[in-house]
Amino acid sequence: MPGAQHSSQSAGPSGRRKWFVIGVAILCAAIAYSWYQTRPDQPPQILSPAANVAPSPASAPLSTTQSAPLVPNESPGVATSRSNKAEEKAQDQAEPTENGEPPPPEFVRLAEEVTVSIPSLAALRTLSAAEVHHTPEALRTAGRELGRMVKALNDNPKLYPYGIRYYERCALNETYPDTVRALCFADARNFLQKAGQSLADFAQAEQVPLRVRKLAELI
Amino acid sequence: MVASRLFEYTTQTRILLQACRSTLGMAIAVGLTGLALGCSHSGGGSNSPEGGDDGRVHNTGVPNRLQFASSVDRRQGEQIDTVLTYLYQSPIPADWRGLDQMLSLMGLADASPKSLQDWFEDRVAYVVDENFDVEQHIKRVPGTFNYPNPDEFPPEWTDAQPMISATISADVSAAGERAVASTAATSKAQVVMVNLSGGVYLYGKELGSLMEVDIDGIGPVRVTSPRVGILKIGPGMFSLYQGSSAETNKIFQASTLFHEARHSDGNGTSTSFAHVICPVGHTYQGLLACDRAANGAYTVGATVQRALMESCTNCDESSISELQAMYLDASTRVLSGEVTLPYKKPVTYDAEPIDYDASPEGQR
Repeated sequence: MPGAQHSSQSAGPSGRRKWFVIGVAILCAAIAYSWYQTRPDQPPQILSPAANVAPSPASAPLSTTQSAPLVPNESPGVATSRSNKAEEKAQDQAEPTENGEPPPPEFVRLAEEVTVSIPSLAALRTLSAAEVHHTPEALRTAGRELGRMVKALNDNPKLYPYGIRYYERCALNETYPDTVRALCFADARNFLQKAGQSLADFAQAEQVPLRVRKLAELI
Repeated sequence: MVASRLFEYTTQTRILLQACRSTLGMAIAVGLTGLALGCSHSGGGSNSPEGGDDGRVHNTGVPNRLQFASSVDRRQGEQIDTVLTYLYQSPIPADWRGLDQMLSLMGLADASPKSLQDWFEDRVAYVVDENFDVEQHIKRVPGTFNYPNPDEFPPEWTDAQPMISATISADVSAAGERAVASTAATSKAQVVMVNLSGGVYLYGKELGSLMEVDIDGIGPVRVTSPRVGILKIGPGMFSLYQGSSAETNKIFQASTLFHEARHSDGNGTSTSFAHVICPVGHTYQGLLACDRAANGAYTVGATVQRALMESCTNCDESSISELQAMYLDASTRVLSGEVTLPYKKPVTYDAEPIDYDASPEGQR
């Protein structure tokens, strides 16, 4: 029968097509699962306090292999030096304490928002004389966002380890303007003190330029 | 001719002038304030009693001696009232830890709201709007005028032309190229505030003639000293910082007012406390956004800001952190140590900050 013949003739290609579709589906599922594991918003089940808060102070210094925080702001007309945003973002999120506990998702989100608000030195250097005669808006915004993190830590001392680590990385980030680095250094110093520690626990403090450390002493 | 000399200066400082709409006025302002595009923001107050809806500025807060050009937007003008009133609402405590330093810096006996207001009003008397074109409002008063220190000018004034020329030379450093590029960007920048009187004064001094500025609704004002104090204000502040708290904005505005007021101080080589070009490696390298003076406009503005910030009872963590960022930003602008200017032929010098003589030249 013409129909049967047709069916029989198409059985081969149809079967191959079916396996091809199944293969693609598996591949997509694998990609989706991989994305799910690394996406910013972690599933609610890991929000349990026991799993997310590190009661111990953050005494662990930054690893030299850790990348600096994100290089930020993509305001119109302003170039940024952000290179591998996704990778850096993931690293920022997965910043565990020394006992390996990841930060709470709320903190991760906050850290991302703060990071994105920070203008890079390169971005500030594209501004005009008129725009920098007084503090550029981008720096004001970054200061305001860093203040949100201060509030979060003040409200929840269990976040100290994550906040301090964030501040340390910020202070070490050479792509940030001195103003931001100094503000982060001062915040790190303040919360280390609140945590019963000192700058001696900021093992890489000496790598923060003297001019930045001296600037931080002003506040 | 007066105009030709002004135009010459205007042309040579075009890169700076474009930052604000009024070319000559800005040029003068820039030159006077050390070529610093003294674009800060401000608001206004007035001598007029409250009432009326004639579009002019009316005092809504503490009485003050400021006189506003008739063209000043009422809302902007009244913002100065708000800021001056804030000094009274959030006074600096007598036991504030930085008080002695502040008093020494500003030559004050105390930091009461009245003393601060007087300090400001001794340096600022007139407020004009962002469209005020000095070129259209300035004229030479016939006869000669005996200026104090007739042969002394700020280095930033006399160096202005070569500095700018070097910066915008065709085959220059990256900083120079950026300066050229920034010229286009400045057209988008809004005027916040600029002190005009220092530039007008120095221009007249260079000519040996007294200059007179005709201000709408006020009449001719003779610029016998930078202390005559003519501020040009614009809308920049109101559109730029809407994300900040009201408290933060008031403190920032107050800081800006005192910063600009400082440009009415100085004499001889320190006249107007001119800004200098930021050196290589600085966040603002190549731009006129730094000070050599330890007691210059950035220091004064930052000190007032810090005093108000640390006296603020309604500032939350975000506000404090934002104000700290502004304080640190201002602090980075006072140069120290060995610096190199980004000229075609780089110039290196020791910029250890020094106190300039703040006593005024001439009399209002």
